[in-house]
Amino acid sequence: MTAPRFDTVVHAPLRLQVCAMLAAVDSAEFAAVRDELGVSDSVLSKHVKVLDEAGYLRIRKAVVASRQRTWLGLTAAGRRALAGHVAELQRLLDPIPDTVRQP
Amino acid sequence: MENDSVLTGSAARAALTQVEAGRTAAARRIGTPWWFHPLLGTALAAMVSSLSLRGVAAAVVLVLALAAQVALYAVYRRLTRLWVNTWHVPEMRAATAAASALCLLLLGCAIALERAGVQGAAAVVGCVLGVAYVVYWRWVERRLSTLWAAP
Repeated sequence: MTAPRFDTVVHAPLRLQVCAMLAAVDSAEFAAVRDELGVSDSVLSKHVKVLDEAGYLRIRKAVVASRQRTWLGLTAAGRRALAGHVAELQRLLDPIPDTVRQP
Repeated sequence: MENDSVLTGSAARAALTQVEAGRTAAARRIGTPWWFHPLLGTALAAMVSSLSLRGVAAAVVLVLALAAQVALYAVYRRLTRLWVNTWHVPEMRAATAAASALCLLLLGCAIALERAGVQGAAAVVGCVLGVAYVVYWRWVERRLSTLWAAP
């Protein structure tokens, strides 16, 4: 069980979507994330940079058919941050813990 | 980072919607064409079956099967533009561990039986593993699509 923890880096709406998409997989191509979330390269790059600086993202560049492709994946710290943040969001929706709930 | 959030319930609900949107985006990409897993299952079966062969034939089948698997993984990346590791999905961790353990157990049995002189044991185990692989991954894709799809 992950301890609830609000995370300001993860909380921005687009970063939350990026993290949630990447948490479901091992890694995804930058273009796939961009297309699925319907944002421009520059907007996604900006958010990727913030996540990268926080240590939540690993970025790998690979050349495929003479084109450079960027792959994004969450680090262990990123997965923990997202899990804690989601737990905090769920706690806010259900503020009374089961342990203190009266029968 | 802070721990004292000032979010209201409605803001938290809106944020959870963003989380669902991200997971749904992954769900949309998870599917593979019908031929993908059968081909990978065949390559896996051929790789294990090569233990039943001797000499150059064993090496040729093994190398071809490995090359087919590498090529198919590259095709998977190009088709879906993502890479899935079910170990990262908490709901799938037990199934991943069980499937890996079963695979290693069957592989160990195949090697032991071949060494004990039971000719063709690895070929039988290879076929079983190949079919099991296809069934397992079809189930994984359906399960992940259900897990990640928005409620």
